[in-house]
Amino acid sequence: MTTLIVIIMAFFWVLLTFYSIMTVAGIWFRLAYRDAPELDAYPSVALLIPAHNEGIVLEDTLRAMARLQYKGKLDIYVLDDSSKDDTAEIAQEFANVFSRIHYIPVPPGSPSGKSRVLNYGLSISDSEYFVVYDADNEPESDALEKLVKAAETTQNAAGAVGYVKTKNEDTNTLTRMIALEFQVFQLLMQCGRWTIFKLGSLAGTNMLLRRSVLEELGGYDVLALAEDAELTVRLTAKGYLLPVVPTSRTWEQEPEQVKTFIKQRTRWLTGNIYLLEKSLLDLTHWRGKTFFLSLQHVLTYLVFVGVLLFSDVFFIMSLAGYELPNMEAPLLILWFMSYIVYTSQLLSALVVDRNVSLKNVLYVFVMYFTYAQLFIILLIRSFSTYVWSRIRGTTIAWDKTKRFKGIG
Amino acid sequence: MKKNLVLGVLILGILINGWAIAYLALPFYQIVLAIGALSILIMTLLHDRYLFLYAITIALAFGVFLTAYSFTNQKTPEMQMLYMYEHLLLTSLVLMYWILLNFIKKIGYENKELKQQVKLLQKYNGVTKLLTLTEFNEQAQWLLKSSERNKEEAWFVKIDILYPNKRTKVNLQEDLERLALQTIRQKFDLISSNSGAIYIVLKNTHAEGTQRMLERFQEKVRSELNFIEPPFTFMKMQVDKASQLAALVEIKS
Repeated sequence: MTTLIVIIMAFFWVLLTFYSIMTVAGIWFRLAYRDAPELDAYPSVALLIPAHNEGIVLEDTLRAMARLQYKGKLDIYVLDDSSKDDTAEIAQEFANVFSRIHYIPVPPGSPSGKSRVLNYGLSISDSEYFVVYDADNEPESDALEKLVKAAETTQNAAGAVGYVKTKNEDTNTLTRMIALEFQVFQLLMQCGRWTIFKLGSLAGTNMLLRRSVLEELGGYDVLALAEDAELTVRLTAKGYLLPVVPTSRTWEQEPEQVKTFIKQRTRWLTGNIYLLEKSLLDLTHWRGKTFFLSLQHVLTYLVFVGVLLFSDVFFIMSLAGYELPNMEAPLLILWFMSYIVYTSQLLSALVVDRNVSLKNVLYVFVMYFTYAQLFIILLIRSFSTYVWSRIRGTTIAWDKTKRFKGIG
Repeated sequence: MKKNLVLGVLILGILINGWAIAYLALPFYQIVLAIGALSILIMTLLHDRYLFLYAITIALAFGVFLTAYSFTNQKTPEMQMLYMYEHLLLTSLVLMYWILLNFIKKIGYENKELKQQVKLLQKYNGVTKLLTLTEFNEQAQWLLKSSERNKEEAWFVKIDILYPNKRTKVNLQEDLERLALQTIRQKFDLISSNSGAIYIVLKNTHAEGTQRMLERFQEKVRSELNFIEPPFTFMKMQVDKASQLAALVEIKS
């Protein structure tokens, strides 16, 4: 028992140290970041928006798309995946007015999901680059141009990835916590990984890719539920780079209800478990830089959540006055310090994003006990779904995130 | 109103926190009080760029100290709990002060920004109600464009005030501005100034017309001020482009 506790505590601290180094590197990158210089000529870009029943958000999305400033040729494709609501009507209305916006109904097929729709979008366009935006995204007008500039000026770049900000941060506690999580784990860690390992990872939205690279890789994997993470591993294994562009921003709607959040994150986690299985079977996922990506998947999705669960049990037992094994290490205070380090990372993200307020700091302090714990439920849920589908030999259906009507 | 409430809550929180450290007298409370007081002093003097770095360093360093102390002295879980409370008290004190400073500085920056915006939106200067330089340049662009289309001439005049006496310099400039304003054609020509110079753009005129305006100005100066030699020099030139004008007008923020 004592050895187990020591091993778990050691793992916990290795992870925390790793993430702390990433945070510091991320802060360094953000503070020193300068946009790439202007290009002599801008390559053509196809902007792909996979849409399945997106009527609630599509008008705002297309309004933002129509405002995009890009000096090269840009075509925007709304890829309608058998919507039953007014998605087609809204997209068609924009397509009638703006020559660069196109409404494309995607023929029905299986398996359902974003990857298949994106592959179809690529088959009907012929630009040098393509950029993907989710149907609830509102990129800033210079977001695309910044991605293109970074991709064109970075040697051996497959494309570039931008920053995803939360549009509905002020709606409720959940959206505020998601926004804070994104600031740390999505951007700061992303910047840190890029600084230390020259590793970028696709975020599923606000991501630019060179068409020739994707063709070389054989397109999107239609079975992948986390198509962005899966593609990142394949790109990295081939030696391509994905520069991170923190000044290229898109505003995205995050789930406003716990139920929707759990559904969305279960899909992400299940997708990552699929990737994990693929990594364990495919040795190319453990060579060179891909090693760090695969290792991070294992650490984040298996080790971290397991250790988190153990620390909870341990903490509750100590508070309840249970007799703990006699240890030479001060476990309680070690556990407490891991909480302080975790909280420090979140606070650093607030500072870097110039988002410091009393409310946000208070949220940061309770996130470990609330939001972080949700990941235990998520891991159990996704693992059971995944294992069950493997036993039955079925494909897990791609589950679209529910959208909410924004105010104003 | 909301900002005042947040400020009030933060100040109250810091006071209660300080009191709690002294009242509860947990282990190391004297050291914590000293660190807290010293931190408040240091953070007040620090540049805002380093504030967070300082606050987080204090929180982590004190945590490392307590962990190492518990390790070496084999402290019981009960004792470790007390250390955790003490750490939380110090961390919350330092972080609340950091938020407070951040908040005050944010208000300061907003204030500066607003003043800058107001300055940009202002059309007229303080005492003599001449156009502000921003407004002068804006209106001059329209004026020069319309002169060009109508094939008219526009002339620029710069009056440099040379008087060295600091005590009366401000009043002298104000008087010269007022006299220049009376000399030009109202709602037709443009006039502005900055410290030590007056700028005029005369629309639909020529070299002789500009010279006549300057003579009228000198006559007015002679009738109101006690100078044998005028306390200024001037230059005049025909202008047809806004960029040419911008180069002639020194914009000082």
